[in-house]
Amino acid sequence: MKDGLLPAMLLSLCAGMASGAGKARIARLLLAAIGGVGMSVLVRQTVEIPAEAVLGAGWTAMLACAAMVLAGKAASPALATPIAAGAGLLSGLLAADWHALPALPMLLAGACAARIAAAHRLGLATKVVAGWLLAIAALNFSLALLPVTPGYLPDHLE
Amino acid sequence: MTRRGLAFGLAANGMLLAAAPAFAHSGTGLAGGFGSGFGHPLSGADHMLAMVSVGLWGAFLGRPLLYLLPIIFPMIMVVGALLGMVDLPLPSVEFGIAASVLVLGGCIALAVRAPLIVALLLVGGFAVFHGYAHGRELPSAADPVGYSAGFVLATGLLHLLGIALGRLADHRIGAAIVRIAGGLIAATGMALLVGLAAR
Repeated sequence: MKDGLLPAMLLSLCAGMASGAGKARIARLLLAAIGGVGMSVLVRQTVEIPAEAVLGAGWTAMLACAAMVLAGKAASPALATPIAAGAGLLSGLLAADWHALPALPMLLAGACAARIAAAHRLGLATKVVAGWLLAIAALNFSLALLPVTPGYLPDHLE
Repeated sequence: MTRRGLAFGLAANGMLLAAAPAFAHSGTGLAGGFGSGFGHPLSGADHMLAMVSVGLWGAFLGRPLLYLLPIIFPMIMVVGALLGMVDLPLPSVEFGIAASVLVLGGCIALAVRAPLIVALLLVGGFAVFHGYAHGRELPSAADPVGYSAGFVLATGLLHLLGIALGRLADHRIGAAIVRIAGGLIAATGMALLVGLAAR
């Protein structure tokens, strides 16, 4: 794995879309995600989690969030906050602690886009984007399971 | 939350995606990341015309295919990519891709109003060939996540371009232009098939 920031950004976007379509306050979602990133710092200091496991969990979470958007289920405020916090936690684990913070604007963008789309009956647009994100997550999840991934292997100087 | 805030957020993240990688040492022979994946569907007329055709035909067919085709295509493409990654032999991939250009262009030119299931099966079948071609390159990408994100995004944007062009069909002259464009796409597909057969 070269860099965890892009997976973290994609996960944050997807989680933002899944959590933002309901009635949860977007500022609260953002705070929950920042809290999740903070939590990831503590987790990394106490437990050593294999990078492959973190990546697998990240893609699985993204698949779940994208499927939720595709199913047209708006997350209740009680569910939206844990989704955002979980996305923050996984982003922090993927992109090494506070380096995940640049991914969080994606969560904001996804939540705002989902909220605007829901308000203007443009939910189909978010479903199309969720379809793309689901495809990316499914592809990369499968890629991690296949023994054909030189891109994930260190090159001769690493 | 305002639209300005949304636009700012999207622009900021767009800049992050567009950030150039550091070339501390290059020459590993790997295909690259986001830019490489994004450029792949745009680099060949066959892929590009097929993607635009999917959007155009979807716009022509109206709801629900208008939004189902751009959702289904990348998902089925993933199946094709997996077949490519595990090196499962798929006969005549290039013929399949060229045929997709011919058939989808022909459907637009002839204003074929296929039933939902037929349209989904047709487009899904062609998506396997396109995904296979992408999947053959994906494992050797230096950054598989960036590469896959790039090619899915480019594919989706080409679909949206097709849908936008397809809105012309709401007007009488526009509909004629769309059908002529479909005819040109089909002719290109035929030329690609002839070229492949002549090899």
